Amino acid sequence: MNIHIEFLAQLGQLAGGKHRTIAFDGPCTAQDALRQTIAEDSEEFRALILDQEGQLQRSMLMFVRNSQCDWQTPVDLEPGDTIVLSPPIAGG
Amino acid sequence: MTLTPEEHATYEWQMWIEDFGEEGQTKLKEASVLVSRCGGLGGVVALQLAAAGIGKLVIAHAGNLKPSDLNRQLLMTHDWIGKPRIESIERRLKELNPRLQIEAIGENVNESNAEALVNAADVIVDCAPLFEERFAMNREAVRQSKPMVEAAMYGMEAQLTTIVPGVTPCLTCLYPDKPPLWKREFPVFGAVSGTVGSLAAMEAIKCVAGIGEILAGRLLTCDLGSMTFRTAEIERNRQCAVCHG
Repeated sequence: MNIHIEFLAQLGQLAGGKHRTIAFDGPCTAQDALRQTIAEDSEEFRALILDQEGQLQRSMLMFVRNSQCDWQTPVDLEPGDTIVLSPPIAGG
Repeated sequence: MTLTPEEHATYEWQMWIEDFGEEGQTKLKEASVLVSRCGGLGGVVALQLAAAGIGKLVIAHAGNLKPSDLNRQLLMTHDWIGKPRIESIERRLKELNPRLQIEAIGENVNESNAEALVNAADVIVDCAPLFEERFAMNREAVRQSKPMVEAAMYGMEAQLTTIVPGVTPCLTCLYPDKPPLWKREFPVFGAVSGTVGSLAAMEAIKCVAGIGEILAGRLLTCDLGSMTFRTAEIERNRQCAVCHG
């Protein structure tokens, strides 16, 4: 199944593009899909998303099907799902 | 408090809105809103609230006008470069609505003034670029149990939510730490700050008038590059150091 990843705001620039699609042969959780998606990225980029323990950075929001995900609770993905990663932004 | 004939004439079109009417307009007249800061985003919030007939604006904004402000700060004018932005803000808002009460403070929100500034308003609209300011306002809004509209932008993207203390996630629920990625200066179009500023003003109007459905527990994300608008549910954080989830 195909899973889409969307990087919002600054992450889109740093990821080299806002959108990615990754194919999985079988069932997959959002957490696994995210780890796999960024596995080939630079260590610097990965560190913006996951901490040294492999947990989602505390100020990074992750959404699947328009609901915020708790990193500790595996979210089973369905074909065509989009994982949205949103870093903090502000005004000005 | 009643509306004057001039106010009736000015706000006639919005008083035709179902569920708003004269009662809603009177609520706006009696209300005060803190806007911090009042640049590209907050300037449009203040402008829209002034146009809508809010009774009082408390505005916190430091510094002098720079050329690089003029792509988005619609309350500024070219002839004001080098002069205090807060004076231009007050002047332009008064030109639009001479009845508006303005408490203009030429400093940004900080740990020492946040309590008084939040205390001076019924609703807070957070348009500040620095997370130190945003966190200070969030703490006070939660402590004083006042709704706070959170508006943000980057590039062609924008985000908006409304924090209702004790009901929705607060800013620290979402962002427990000062974000390492965020920089004070960032890419943005004035049309993006103006769009999210207008949306934030609408949230403040709904909070005051008690109409419609505010973005409580929902985060609106807008990508004006693709014209994609969507809302996602956001969660309180039981470990939150400010509102304790």
